[in-house]
Amino acid sequence: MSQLRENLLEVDGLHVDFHTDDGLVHAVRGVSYQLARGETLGIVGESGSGKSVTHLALLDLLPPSARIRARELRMAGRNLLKLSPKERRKMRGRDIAMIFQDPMTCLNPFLTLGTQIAEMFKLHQGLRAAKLKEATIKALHDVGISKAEDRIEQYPHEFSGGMRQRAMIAMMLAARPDVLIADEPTTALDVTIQAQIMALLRKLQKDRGMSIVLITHDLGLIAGFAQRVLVMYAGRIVEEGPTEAIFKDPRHPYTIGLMDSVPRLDQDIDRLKQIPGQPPDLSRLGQGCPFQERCSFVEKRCGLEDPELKACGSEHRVACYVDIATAPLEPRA
Amino acid sequence: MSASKTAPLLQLVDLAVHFPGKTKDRPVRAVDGVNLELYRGETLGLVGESGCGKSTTARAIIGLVEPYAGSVQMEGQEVTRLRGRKRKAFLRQLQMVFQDPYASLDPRQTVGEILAEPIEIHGLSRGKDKKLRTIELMLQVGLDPTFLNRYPHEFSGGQRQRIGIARALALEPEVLLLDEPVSALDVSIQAQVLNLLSDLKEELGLSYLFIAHDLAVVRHLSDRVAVMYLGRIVEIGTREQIFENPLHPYTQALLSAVPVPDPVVERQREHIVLKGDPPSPDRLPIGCAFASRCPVVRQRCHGEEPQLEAKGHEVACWEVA
Repeated sequence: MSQLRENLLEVDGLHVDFHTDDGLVHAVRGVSYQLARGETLGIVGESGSGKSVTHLALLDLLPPSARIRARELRMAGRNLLKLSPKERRKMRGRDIAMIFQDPMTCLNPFLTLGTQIAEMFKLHQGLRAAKLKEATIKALHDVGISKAEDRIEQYPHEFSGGMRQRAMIAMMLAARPDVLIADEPTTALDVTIQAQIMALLRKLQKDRGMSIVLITHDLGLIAGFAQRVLVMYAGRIVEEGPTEAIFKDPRHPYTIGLMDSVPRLDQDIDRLKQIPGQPPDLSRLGQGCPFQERCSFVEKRCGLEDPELKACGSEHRVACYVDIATAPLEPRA
Repeated sequence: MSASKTAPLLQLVDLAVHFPGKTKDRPVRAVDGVNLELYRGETLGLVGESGCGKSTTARAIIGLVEPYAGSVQMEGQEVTRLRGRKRKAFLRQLQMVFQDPYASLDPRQTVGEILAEPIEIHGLSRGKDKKLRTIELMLQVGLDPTFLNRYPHEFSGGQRQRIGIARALALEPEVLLLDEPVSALDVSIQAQVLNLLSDLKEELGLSYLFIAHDLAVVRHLSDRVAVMYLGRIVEIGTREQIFENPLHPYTQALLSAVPVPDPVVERQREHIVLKGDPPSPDRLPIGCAFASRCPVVRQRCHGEEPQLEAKGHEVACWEVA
């Protein structure tokens, strides 16, 4: 990492466990990363890989059944773990904000959109009366909602999915956060609407110098937007690096499998390569690498100890014992 | 492959499905005059965004919703008004796989019961033969037959979708309607199910009507592709025609909006960002339904609705020469 890099967010050794009827579920198992100012960090992984839980933990939005441990969680130099609940609450939205996959479940169906957006301006900027209304209308206008003066009187069900996500973004912007966690922000939306929302996020980031963590299963979105990528599997980061390196020279067998298993819009593929099996049950993790049962490069030591992240290129790290670049064997069919 | 000279296996003629709207004189025109042919052995992809009528089209074909007008023909025979024994015979030829493998299996039936039910209803086999058939179905979709006594909740999403496919295959149909069969699955599991569908098609000589919003998945599986917008087909052609030479401005926008998983390619691609949302299907505009978002819209588009016309391949747009 370059010395000039200003890290806004630093996560060091984060663990999250849940007590469930099926026993202890290790949802996040030692995640560490840094996010620089203005950077877009992409996080890929499948359901249950821990990509959402990691960030809900950062915002202190997990249910009481979650047990969170970390060496350090720092936001703009402040240790989140040492803050009081009141201070955490103040930071939420103002310093670090989150938007979610389903904007309908995030909005209150009984309040007009104007009321909900105005609340943010009241809370974070202390605006009142005419100024408040003006700011609310401007916020909706800024995220590309036309006739904002009329729209503020409407309820969430009167908006389309894309408009609701715009409204969520407007609410988020009211608090002027430095870091935005966008958790599958366009997964519930149609692809032409996805393009609109991503263009909007890109513009807002440029205008405001926001850092974005883009959590998605869509490798195409990552390729288009992220400067760096973390690949998560079974609660751990298994590979991280600059976007170009991750796509051109993936080193973890899981990353390779993921890249090979997606059909392409821009080319014909005769037969998709598939990763056999399915992700492990996080309440019954065995010894060693969690990917070993699905891995075509598996070796004896993979069953003994979970590999740590190790450098494998410039700012490129991978958690795998096998050096794919020089692996002597053809992968098992 | 489309053997265009032979008669279609499944044919839709001016199919329309309307739902009651907020007021009586303004029905929701979910499907509004769709003509499609599915030929033996081909996969026809039907793409479009939510609310365009693609799922409703499938549901009308199999009789889950009643068409408002038009006809559905299986090997030349009208099937929309079939009842009783004749409808049962039709359903042996055509079965459906649903999107959500969590909602489309009865949680209180074992997998064995789920697979045996269609066999019983259609009186195909009994006793030991029936049991053997369910074992065969499990093997066909890559599931362990010792799991026949288990319940749906004991399976993962991908395995449940395999059960849904096995159930659809139980009657040995000729046509499968696949309604977003992989969109609820994780990426690595999607590939498994897509490969299974390719294999089954080849082994069993099936024909697929494949409905999906994911264009990359559609490209991968389809021989021909039809693009829907607000209840109408706006463009239809072979896979190459649609993906390499899209003619309709909507198809072009749709394809350009899909991000490609390659940072070098993706950052150089031109993206057409459409304005606004599609109009509501209970107040379709006069003229072309896409006019309100179209980047090449002309005066004429607001007055007259373009019909599908062969311009290289079939497209409904005034601007395409």
